[in-house]
Amino acid sequence: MDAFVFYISGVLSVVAAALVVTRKNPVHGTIYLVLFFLLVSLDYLILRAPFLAIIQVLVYAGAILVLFLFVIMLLNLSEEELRESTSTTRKGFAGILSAGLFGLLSWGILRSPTVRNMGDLAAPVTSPTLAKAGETEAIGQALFTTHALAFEFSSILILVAILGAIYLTKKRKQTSSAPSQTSLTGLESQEEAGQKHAPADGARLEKRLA
Amino acid sequence: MTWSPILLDVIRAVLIFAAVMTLVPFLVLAERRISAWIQNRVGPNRVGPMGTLQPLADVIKLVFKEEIVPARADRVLYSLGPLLSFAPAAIAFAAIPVGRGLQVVDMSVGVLFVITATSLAVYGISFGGWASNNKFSLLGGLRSSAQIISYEIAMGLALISVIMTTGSVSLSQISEGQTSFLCWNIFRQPIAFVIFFTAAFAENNRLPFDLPECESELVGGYHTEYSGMKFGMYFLAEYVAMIVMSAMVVTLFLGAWSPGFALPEGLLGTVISVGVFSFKLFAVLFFYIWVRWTLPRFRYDQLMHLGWKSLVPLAMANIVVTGIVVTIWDAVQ
Repeated sequence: MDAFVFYISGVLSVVAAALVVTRKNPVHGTIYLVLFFLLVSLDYLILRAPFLAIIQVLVYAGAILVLFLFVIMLLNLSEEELRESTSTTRKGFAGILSAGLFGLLSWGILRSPTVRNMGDLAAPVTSPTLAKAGETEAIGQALFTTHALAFEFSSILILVAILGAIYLTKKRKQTSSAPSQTSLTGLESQEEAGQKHAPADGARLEKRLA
Repeated sequence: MTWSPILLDVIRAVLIFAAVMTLVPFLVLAERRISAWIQNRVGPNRVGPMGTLQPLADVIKLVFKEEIVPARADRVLYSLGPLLSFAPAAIAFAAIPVGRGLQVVDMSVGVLFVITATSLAVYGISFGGWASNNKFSLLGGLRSSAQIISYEIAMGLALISVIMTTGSVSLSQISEGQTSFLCWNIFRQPIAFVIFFTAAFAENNRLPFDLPECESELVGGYHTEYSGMKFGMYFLAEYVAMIVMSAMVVTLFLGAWSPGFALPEGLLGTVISVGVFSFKLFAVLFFYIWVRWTLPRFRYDQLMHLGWKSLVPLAMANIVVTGIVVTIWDAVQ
């Protein structure tokens, strides 16, 4: 049963991933990316890791891709802009890079002793300790004890990214808005909230694109 | 007989789904009747006794309406939009226990499952808005995605403090933990309750946070271009999502299916528990409708201010306080 699900989801996720790259329209690409994430979370479920499966969908499909889509829809590229294809050298470079990464990963996975001992890649997880390892409690324990240092470091990394984003928006506001506009009381706070406000941002982006 | 448990699962799934689907038309009717009552009007009372057949008449009208697809619309996505907004809301109900030991799947990550499913519903709205090839629809879709992302954070943070007190992410275990009246999470986590409920209104695009479909600015928002049963599907999705969120409020904070004291064993207790759950669900749904017809709409910047500058910091402070209390409690015990 597990192997059956794995083969189906595996084939479908490869197809979805290929479609993400080949779609001309980025909105269509995003849909296939959502589908891809859903299929990968199915793999986590087969591996008895429900927490990872849910978090995969919640974080990537439910949050990050929504923001992707938000930006893509705001840009709302016209068909002429979409038709402009990237240069062949760029495509070749990307192709070589991804082929190299694919080779490196498969070499690493096939060499790993755990995989070799498992024999069948699609074999179900039988060991009771392994089956428990995917549950919320086990992951929480591991994150806050064994991997506490890495956990804290990644939180610092995210904090730095947040600070960077705030700094960039502050800087842009000073240079882009006219002085007469900012001096008006009340308008200032609306501008600030307008970071997420579709019409204001859309108009600004459209101006920049024109 | 290996088939019988699967058959039982299927029966349970169909029953719960059918119950939710049956609830929707009555909810729509209740909304119209209650709004009429609040605004001192008569409301729909012509079709059937007390207007009870009004939803049926509405559905017949929607089914026979002409489908109009706007020119230069993305046809596939345009049709997919309503479905993508309905399916996640319907799936989410699978993890919610509607009575003692009565749920479609008892997931170990039930809370996260429901939140994930409801967060996927935003795709239906934003794809529909984008595919309509209409700027009002697009703005509605964009507003919706920004709003849902913002309020999901507050909602998630409120949930963390609840999970910290109950010590579980399984909805059935959270329900079991609230059998006695004083253990209801509304008393143990009042701040989280307020934050979660507020965010639930925003997640469902309900007034006072219905900016994605605000008529005075956006015509009809993301579904401006939709007609017929496709519009009906969006309508259905909105109400199912509302039922799911109300069920979550009941399960997480209002003691789930428990009346506040221990229920008798066996079938009688189960039946009573379903009744209690339904009663609480209706009470929360009534509150939803009551708020809609009482409060005016927020302005967009006020919405963002409330989400990011009030609810998120409040929820974070609540987590810190909960952490301290839980640690002291564990040390005392």
